Amino acid sequence: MEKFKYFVIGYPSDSNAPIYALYQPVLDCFLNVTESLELAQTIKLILSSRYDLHVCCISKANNYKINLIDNEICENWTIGDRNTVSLTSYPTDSPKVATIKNLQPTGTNNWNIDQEKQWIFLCIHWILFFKQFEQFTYYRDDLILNGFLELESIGSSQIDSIHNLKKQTMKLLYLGLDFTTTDQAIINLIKSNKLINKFWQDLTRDR
Amino acid sequence: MAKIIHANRYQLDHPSLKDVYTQYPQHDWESFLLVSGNNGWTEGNLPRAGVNNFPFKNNIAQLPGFGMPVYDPAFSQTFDQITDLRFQNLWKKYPNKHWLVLWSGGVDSTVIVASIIKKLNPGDYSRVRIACNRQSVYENPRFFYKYIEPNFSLIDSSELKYNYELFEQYLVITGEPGDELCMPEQPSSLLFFDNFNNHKKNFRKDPDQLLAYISSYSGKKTAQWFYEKLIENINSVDIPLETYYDFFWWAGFNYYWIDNMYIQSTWQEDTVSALSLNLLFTELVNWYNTTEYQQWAMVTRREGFHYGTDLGGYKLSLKKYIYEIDHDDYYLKFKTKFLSLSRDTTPRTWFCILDDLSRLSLDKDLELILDLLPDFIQT
Repeated sequence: MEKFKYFVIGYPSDSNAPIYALYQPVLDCFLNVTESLELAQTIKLILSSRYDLHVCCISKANNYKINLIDNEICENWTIGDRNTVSLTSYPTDSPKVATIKNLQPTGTNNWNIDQEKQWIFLCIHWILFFKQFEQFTYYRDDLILNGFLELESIGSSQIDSIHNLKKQTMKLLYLGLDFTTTDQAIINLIKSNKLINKFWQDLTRDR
Repeated sequence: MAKIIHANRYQLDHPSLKDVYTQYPQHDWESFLLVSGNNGWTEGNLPRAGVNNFPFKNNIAQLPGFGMPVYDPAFSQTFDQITDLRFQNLWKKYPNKHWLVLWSGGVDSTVIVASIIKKLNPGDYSRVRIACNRQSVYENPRFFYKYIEPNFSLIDSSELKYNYELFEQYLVITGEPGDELCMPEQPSSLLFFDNFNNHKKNFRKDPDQLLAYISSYSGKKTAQWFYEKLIENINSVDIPLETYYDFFWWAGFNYYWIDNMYIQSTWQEDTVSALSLNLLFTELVNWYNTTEYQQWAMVTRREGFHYGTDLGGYKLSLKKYIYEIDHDDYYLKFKTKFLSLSRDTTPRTWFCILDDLSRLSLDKDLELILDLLPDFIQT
């Protein structure tokens, strides 16, 4: 049985693909690894209500190996060349990626790291849940077109309900602190929406 | 004849000034301009205390509100006591004025709001308005949603105009110069990130890493020049300064305090032009510009006060004050500095301030500037 609900290993499916890690400077360790730069940058923003995270490309480090760091043990590693990471940052400077030249094991600290890792898995789970709607043409088109047309006064009930639910979910993740409370609040939101609940039920049944 | 009391460090390297500088070869202008301008690691060149061994006269430090209080090693008030008192004194002093607090979401301005929540009767919250923008919310969202949005009416700070009407209507309060109470954030990479013990190193006996750090910004020659200038200044004051932390703290506290006192006028230069700088100096309340805060800063330069046991402990006393109100473990443990998107602190439109507090610009007043500049240079 896995230690974390919504656990993802973060292990590369493609051994040549770059791997990104989220580095927390006060804890001096990585809290998550992922292949997706977009996901790493989204997590950085959602977690900015808690602390700074620096998106680091770790796969170019001189001692990186394909099986060296995954989400089970990422907190045991830190950057070896710290001056590559700026300590001051804008909360919204997510496109910036620090390329790490060297990785090194890190020491222990007295903060509950598992709690932080669990929170990131929660965020990833629900971000990817809503990402799946982008495979539907109407939703994807509306996401782009209404991004600038702003036709809020002319509704599209199904699409709007997804948008609204996504907004509420992201706000819960942005401001929330407790895993169980937040996760349950999101599930309750989804259950209250007929369309999305069916989608969610199908997904969970498939597992 | 008018006198220059302060020059804009970002315009000191303007080519038309070079001929004046060359008449004073006793100064290392190359190093001074490197340290003073955009490329320097530090941001100030006007010592408030001690020997002024930089090229320009520090006349502005003599103005009311700019000086440094006398160092008092027996000073014993706590940060909490000083802050509570600061609130009470201001509230009593202006019984008929509404407050407008400029809240950035950062530690300094959040202390102000925390003091209001701590000391003010909720029935009086309607006398306080908060000026902020979206970046402020992004910097401290839980505090915003829990304490600011439900209790206070908001003003969009990105639309705020510093004019006579604003100061007539409100007591305008900023979190300046909070950054200089403890230490500018910039050197924290050397002191607390590369190796946490660096901050305890003695800058006189073991200066190599300190010099290497400054060199990374300004080159080896200028780093050595600046280091020697600062040591000379430190040796001339009666404050025990020994460690790397002391060195950088002093650089901010002594040399950058003045810049931060009028920083509001540089954020909104176009809108402040109609208002005399005098009004800004006399009416704007810079929360931390008090004798008590400065004396506290001078005697508490150690772990548990200015900093903690890791990178997140920056401004620890201030964060503990906020924690008493919000109990936000994350803000206490992890809050580090964000650069505020809405605040471009580079003054562009003016070159110098005169003793009548009017300002001259290089494009309109070059001839007068060239006349007045020699008298501003130390001989």
